[in-house]
Amino acid sequence: MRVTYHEGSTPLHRLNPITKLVILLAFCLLAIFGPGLQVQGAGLVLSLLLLLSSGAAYAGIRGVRSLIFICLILFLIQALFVKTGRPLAGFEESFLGVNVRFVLTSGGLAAGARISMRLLTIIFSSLIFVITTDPARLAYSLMQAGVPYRYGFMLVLALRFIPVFQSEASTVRRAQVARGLRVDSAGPLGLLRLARYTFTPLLVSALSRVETISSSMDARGFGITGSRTYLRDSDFSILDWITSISAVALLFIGLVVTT
Amino acid sequence: MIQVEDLRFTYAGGETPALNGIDLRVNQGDFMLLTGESGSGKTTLARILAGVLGSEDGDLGGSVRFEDIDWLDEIGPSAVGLVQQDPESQVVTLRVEDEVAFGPENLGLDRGEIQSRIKWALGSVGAGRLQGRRVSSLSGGELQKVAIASILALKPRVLILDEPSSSLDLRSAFKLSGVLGSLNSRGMTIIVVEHHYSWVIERVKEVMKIEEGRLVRGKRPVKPATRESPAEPSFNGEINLSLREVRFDYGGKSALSGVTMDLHRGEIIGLMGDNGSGKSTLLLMVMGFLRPSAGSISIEGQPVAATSRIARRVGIVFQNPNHQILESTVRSELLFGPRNFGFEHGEADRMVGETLEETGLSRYANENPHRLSMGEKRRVNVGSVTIYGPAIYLLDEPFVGQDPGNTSRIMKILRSRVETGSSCLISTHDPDFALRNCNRIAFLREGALAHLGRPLEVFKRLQKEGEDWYLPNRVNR
Repeated sequence: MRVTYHEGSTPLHRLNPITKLVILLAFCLLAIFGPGLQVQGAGLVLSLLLLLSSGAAYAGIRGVRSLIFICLILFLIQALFVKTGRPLAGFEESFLGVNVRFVLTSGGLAAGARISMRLLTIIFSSLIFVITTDPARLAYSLMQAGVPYRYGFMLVLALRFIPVFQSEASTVRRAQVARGLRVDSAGPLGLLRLARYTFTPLLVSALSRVETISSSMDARGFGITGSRTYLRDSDFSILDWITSISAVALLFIGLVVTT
Repeated sequence: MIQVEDLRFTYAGGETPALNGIDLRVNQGDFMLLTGESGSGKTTLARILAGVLGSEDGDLGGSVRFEDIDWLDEIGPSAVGLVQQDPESQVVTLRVEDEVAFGPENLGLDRGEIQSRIKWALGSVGAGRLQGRRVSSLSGGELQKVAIASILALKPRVLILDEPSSSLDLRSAFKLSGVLGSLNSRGMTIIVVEHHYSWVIERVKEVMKIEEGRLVRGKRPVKPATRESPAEPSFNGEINLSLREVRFDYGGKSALSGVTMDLHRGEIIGLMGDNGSGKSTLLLMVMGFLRPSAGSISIEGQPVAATSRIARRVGIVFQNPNHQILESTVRSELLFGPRNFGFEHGEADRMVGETLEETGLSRYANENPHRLSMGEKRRVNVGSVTIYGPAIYLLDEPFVGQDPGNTSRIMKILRSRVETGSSCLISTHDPDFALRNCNRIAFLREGALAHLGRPLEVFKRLQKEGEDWYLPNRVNR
């Protein structure tokens, strides 16, 4: 499962990341607390429509296809085993001397629909956020919205160095195999050693990078003033206001008015 | 401009001083080369001048004055800028313009000023077109330019660069030399800390050398006395490694195509070419880590199989020493290969003893290899492969950041293996090294084998093509 940010210029891409956090939160609350199948269904349809406008819906859905498969399984389990409401269909059969009885009920279908729609809404709205939000822009927006910049840059540094560490890890594994370490036939103790052989070189390399990066930040005045300025314009536009207020209003209607 | 008197520095927890009475004068508009063996203290001096190393990091004595300011007391960013050795590790953000803006943002400058500084700084290093790019998409040379621009954006009056060429190919290094020259001609004082300085020496006005923590006025280096390349190997032209029309596609593009060459027993081939020309890809394919998209590779007559099947016969040393030290003592690090390959205990112990002796690491046998210097770590890496005697040695830029003493020590070990019938494929950016040590040079250009032949032959052809940066001193000047 691997879903990442897709560059693009859709209206969703242009929204401030904080607006998209509001949308994500609204969908999740609606999915969890929304009363009745109609409200949850409306939430699901709306999240799917937004996802389709993200410019990379297909790649996103492909990336989480295992989760969607789990939703289907959950639906089937609920539909088969929850026996409330009125019976809709059923059969009774004797099979190798064992009586097999199966009844599909309206309550089972509703329970299955509720749980799978809930999960799908959360999955789709998370996809919207991940696909359309540049993580670096998220960090900068959070900092400009008041999150202390030291924390913000921790996020930026993590994003910057995760791919670097991934490529280092692959070099370390290659160095092990090249010197005859058999990865396939290792027992539990061998696995432990294998972990150490990978972890130590990576840690040493990370520590040496930490020194360079902290010198590089100090030398460029990181932390000398309490408040820093930003090149990026992270203004909350009118569209952001309208979108955020609409999201909250729809959530309110969904949770309160329809009850 | 900068006046250093009797500067002494000992790292916290260290015993021997890193700097032991340095006197130095830097004048406005200087272009200074600061050279010396690794571990001589040149990086320490650069870091103190730039204000990133100070009394909280160790025992500091003497004085540094920047014009009328006592520098050691009033260290602040912007007057002296330092570009550190590894551009990859000093870039903080994910986009070029964020990176160049990082310093000015910290100083609290307003958006208009930040924008004009970005434009100026990127323009000064000839990288204006990189402004909107993601950092992860840049080449080594581009990353270096961005690292320099991100320091320039603070408008320093002195720019110090610590081994700026170590991650660059020669083409990029010569371009960098042009950038530094033009900054210097516009009044910027420049100090370059390097031990491979052929790319920049033309611009340098003053050479200083650090020896064991003390500064001696350096002479302008004379041309090194270059020996002839080693003669053609004997062994009746037996072939160890053979590549036929090898191609490797990656992300819809060919990283290598149509590469055909043989490596003979007793032969050292230098693999040269720009970064991204396919050198590392080629080594990874021979080691069985990457499968050719087309063509074939065979080792001692057998087609290349999975790495685990050929590991006993082919040894590889990667570029970064830290990535291949797996054990916690030098002895067990050397034992790693022999143990995995099933050598008997007594036999393996004897081999460790010999390798410790040969690499000059006997007194560190029970030390943690991660605590050793970069030069010693490199010898551990090489020893941990030579110990089980593979038929083919692959080395990916093994001598980056290594001083000449350590390089010739390691080459002596490799040469002894080659003389008994092994062969080496070494990727390198150093033409003088290739001329002295390699029987042949394979020169890659954009994934194709552009030249293959005796070193002088290849250099002459490169000269004809106008690729002057690839020529050794002897041919060049």
